[in-house]
Amino acid sequence: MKTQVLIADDSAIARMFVKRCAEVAGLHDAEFSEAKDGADAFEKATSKPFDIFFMDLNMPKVHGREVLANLVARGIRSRVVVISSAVNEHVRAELLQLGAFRVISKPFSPAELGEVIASATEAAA
Amino acid sequence: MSHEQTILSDAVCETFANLAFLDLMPGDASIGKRDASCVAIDVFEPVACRVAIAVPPALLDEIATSATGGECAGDDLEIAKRDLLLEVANVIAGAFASRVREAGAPVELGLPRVEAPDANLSWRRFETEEGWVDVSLEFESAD
Repeated sequence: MKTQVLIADDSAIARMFVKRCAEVAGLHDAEFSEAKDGADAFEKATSKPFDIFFMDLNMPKVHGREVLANLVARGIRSRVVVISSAVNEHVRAELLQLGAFRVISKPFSPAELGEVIASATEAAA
Repeated sequence: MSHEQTILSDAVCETFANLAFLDLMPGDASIGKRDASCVAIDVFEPVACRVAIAVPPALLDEIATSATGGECAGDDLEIAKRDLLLEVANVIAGAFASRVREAGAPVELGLPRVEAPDANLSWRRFETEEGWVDVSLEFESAD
């Protein structure tokens, strides 16, 4: 069964970059879905189960923090990996406490993303 | 070089290495050229400043083509170039803002926007084999 991956970011190039890094990191046979804002992300994340959900924090319509809180409240079990350029230790701790699986700062390397994917797929097994 | 310039320089080099697979070497002061695509972004917290990035057309073509895996052409490539430059500015400003003060300081950014390169700003050049990138950091005055 293919790994289901959701990528939410308002930047198309950022979504493409995450997808390419994920493929380089070993997710060759994954099925990727994309969301372009927070509302779209919440709708897609609740429409079917995703194994890994890469989510930008600062998105139009609904902020990533709110998307994460709503998913947790709904009992959605996707591993949510928050990716943001404006993460400090305080925000990181807050997101992890809220239920994020990992928090990654931009710019990240394909190797860093690969490590997170390995942890997420191991945790799913 | 000031503490802020060093942090910004690291953020610029890391961002271009990871997003555009370009190795940049910090160089000297430069004059922001008009024949470049330029984006700027405001940082509100933890310091009030403005970061601008200018990239010449040939280099932007190259990194956008590489970033999209050669899948975009025509209008789609133009959109990808603009999107890439905005994302680069956002990531550089975020990396700078989250490191320039103590860990845990609030970070707040504006939205990156396309604008014309301003030759009146202080620009610093970063060199690469494929071309150059100019970066400006201006702090808001206290008045």
